[in-house]
Amino acid sequence: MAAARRFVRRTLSDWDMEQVVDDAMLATSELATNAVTYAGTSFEVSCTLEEEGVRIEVLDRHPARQIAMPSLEATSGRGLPSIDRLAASWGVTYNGLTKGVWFRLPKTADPTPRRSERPAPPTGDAAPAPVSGEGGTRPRTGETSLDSAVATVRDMLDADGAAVLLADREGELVPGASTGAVSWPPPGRLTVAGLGPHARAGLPWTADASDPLAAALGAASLAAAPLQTQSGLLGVVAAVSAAPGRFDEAAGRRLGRIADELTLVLERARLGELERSWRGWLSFVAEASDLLAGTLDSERTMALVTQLVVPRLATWCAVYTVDEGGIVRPAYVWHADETRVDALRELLEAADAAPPLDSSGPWNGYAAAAPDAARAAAGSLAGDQAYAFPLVARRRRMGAMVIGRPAGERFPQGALDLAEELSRRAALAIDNARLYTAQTAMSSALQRSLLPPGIPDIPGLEVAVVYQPAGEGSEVGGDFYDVFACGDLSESAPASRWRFAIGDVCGTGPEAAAVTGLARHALRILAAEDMPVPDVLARLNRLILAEGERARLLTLLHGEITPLPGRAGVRIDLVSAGHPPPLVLDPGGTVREGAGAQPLLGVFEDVDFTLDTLELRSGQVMLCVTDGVTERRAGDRLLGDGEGLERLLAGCRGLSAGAVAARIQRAVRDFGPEPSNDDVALIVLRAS
Amino acid sequence: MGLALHTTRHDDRVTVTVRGSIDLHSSDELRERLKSLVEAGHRQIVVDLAAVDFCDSSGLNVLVRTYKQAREQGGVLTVTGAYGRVENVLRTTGLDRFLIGTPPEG
Repeated sequence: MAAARRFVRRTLSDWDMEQVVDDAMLATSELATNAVTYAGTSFEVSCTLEEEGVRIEVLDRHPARQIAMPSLEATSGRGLPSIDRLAASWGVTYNGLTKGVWFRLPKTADPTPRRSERPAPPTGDAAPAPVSGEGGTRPRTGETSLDSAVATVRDMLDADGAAVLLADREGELVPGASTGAVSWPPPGRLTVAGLGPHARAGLPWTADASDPLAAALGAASLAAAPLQTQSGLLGVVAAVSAAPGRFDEAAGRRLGRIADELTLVLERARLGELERSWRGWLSFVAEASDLLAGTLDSERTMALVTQLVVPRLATWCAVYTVDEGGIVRPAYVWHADETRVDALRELLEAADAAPPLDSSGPWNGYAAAAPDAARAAAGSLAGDQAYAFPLVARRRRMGAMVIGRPAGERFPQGALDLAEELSRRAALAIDNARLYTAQTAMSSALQRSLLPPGIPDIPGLEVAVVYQPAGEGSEVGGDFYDVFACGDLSESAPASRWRFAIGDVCGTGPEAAAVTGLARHALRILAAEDMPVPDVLARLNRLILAEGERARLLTLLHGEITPLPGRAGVRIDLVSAGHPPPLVLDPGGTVREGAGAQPLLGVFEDVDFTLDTLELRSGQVMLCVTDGVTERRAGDRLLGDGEGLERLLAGCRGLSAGAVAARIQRAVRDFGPEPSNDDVALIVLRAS
Repeated sequence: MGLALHTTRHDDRVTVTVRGSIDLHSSDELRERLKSLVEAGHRQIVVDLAAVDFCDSSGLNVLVRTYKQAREQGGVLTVTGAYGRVENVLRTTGLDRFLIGTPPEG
C-alpha cells in the first residue's frame, strides 16, 4: 500500500503535477485498500498522463467481488464516496480477469491553499472543530473577509467604528477585526451568555451605552447583529458611535443582512478548514492501517494502537482485552507524559471496572470504581474524561480502546470519529494476528508430529541430530529424520538393531507434509515387520506414486544399525535414494562417501534398490545431511561446492557426535549473511 | 537470477537451451515451456543444461514431471550438457540414468 502511494507520488512529481499529488495518493490508497480488503488479491496501479490531467487506475484480480461501499462494510475503508469527493470523474472497468477502478484528476486542483502534508493534531488550529472554532483561533481564510466586512459596516452605517467579535470555545467573545473608534474590552469581560435577549434570539439590535456590548466597546450607541449559524453562535458584528442614539431600526436590519452574509463567508471558510483537516486525517488513518496490517503479533498491534492514538487524538490511551475467562483487563496503557504511564496503569488496574464492550461513548467507570487511595495516587488523572470504543471484529468482542484527556479539554467530534475508525481497524488487525498465531501453533504442532518423540540409546554409538525448519512459523517444511529400534521388540529382550532415516520432500506446505507423514509411518511399520531396507524403499516408492497428483519427490537416506560383536563398533546397511551421500570421517581426518547414488522416490515405477554396507569403528563418524546444508548459499557460492562439506567434516577430528553436529550447524548458519531459506536437518553417528 | 530459454527445432527434435539458475523462483518458467512443447505434440525434447550453474529440487521436479508426461504420450525427454553442480545433483538423485541420453550427433 505504501509502495502504491510512493509510486503515485513519484510519478506525478515527475509529471510536474504536485498540486494533485495529495488527492491522488489519498484516492489511490482508498482504492488499494478496497482491492486488498474486499477482493483479497494483489493489485496494480497505473497512472496515465492525459491532456486534461491524470487518470489513475487500480486493478485487482477479482472481477466477481463487489466494489465496497462503506455503509455495507463499516470495518475499513471509506470506499468510493471519498473518491467521489476527490476526483473529477471515476468509473469501473471489467475485463473478465481483472476489475479496475479508475479516477481522473484535473491538472490543477482547486485554488484553495494546499494543506501541509501531515495532519495537525486536533488540539491545534486545523482540528475538525465544532462550531464555535477551536482553541480560540479564528478561521484564517476569513481574516481578510473580516477586515473588509468591518470596513463595509462602518461605511454603510456611517458609524464611528465597527468590530467583529468571535466566540471562543469557552463562550468568551474575543476581538476578530475592527476599524475606527473601537476600544476592545479587557479579556474575560464579555461572554456570549452576557449578551442581551436579541442576540440569543439571533436578531439584530440597536442600543445605547447601557447595553453590555456597547459598554464593552466603549460606545454611546450601537447597532449589532449576531453571526448565527444553525449549529451555534460564531460571534457578533457591531457598528459603534460616540454619539448617543445614532442608529435606528433600519440600520439594525441592514446590519442584520451584512451579518448573514458574513456568517456564510465564515462558515464556508471553517468548512474548508474542516475539509482540509479531514483529508489530512484520512491519510493518517490510511497510514495507521498500513502499520497495523504489517504486524501479525497481537501484543505488538495493541501496543502500536496506543501509540498511534497518543498524542494525536488523546492525551492517553488504554487497550482492554478479554481473556479466556471473560475477564476484561487493561493490557496496554500509554500516556503522552511517559512519567504518568505507571500511575495511569495502576489507577485502571485498581479500578477493576470494565468499559462497555458493545457500544462506544463516554466512560469514566474507572474513576468511580477506583479505591480512594489509588485515586489519590493518580492525582489529576482520576478526574480525566474518557471515551471507550469496543474492539469488535468478525463478531468477536476482543476488548475496548479507551482514550482520555484532562477534564478541562474537550474531545473534538472529529477526534472521536477518528478514534472510532481506528478502533475498528485495530480490532481487525488484532483478530488477524490471533488467526495467524493459531495457524502458526497448528503448523508447529504438525511439524512436531512429523519428528520422532525421542532418540533411543544405542550401545556403542553416539547419536546427535539437528533439525531447523526454515523461515516462517506457518509453513511446515519437507525435511524429516527418525531413529528407532526394530526387529524383535518383545519386552524381555533389549533391542538389538536400530534404523535411522533422513529425508527431504520436495516443496513445503500441507502436501509436502502429507508425504513426510506417509514416509515416516511407512518406515516404522515396515521395520516392525522386519522388511529389509531395500524392500522398504521400493514399497515406499510405490506408496508415494499411488498418491497420484499429490505425489512429491522424496530423497531418502535409510539404513539399519547392527552392533558388531565385542563392542567393536557398528555395521550400517543403507540405501541413499537420491539423497546427498553420507560422509564418513576417520580418526585420521580423511573423509569418504559412505554410499552410492540410487534413484530418488516418487518418480519411477519398479525401481530396485541395493544395500551399501559400511562399518563404523571406534572414533569413526558418519554425517548425514539434507540439501539445506549442501545448498546453503552465499552469493553465487554453495556450501557443498568443491567438496566443502567434506572439508568441513575433516576439521571435526576428535569431536564427539554432539560437537560435530553443533559445529556443522554453526558453519551452515555462518556461511551466508542472510538466514537460510531451506530446512536444515542432520544426523551424526559416532562409534564410541 | 532469471532464466533464459531458447527453443530450436531440428527435424523431429526440439531443443530447449537453458541459461541461468533453476530454482524455486525460476522453475515455473521452465515448466511452462516444456509443458507447452509436450502438449504441442513434440515427441523428442532435449533440454540443454550446458549454461546452467545450479538446479535445485524444484528444478529436478520440473524435469521429472515433464519426462513422465512425455513418456505417457510416447515421447522422450533427455537432458544434455549438465556439468558441475547440476551434473552432481543428477548423479546423486539417480536421475542421470533416466534423463541423460546419448548426445545427438550433429
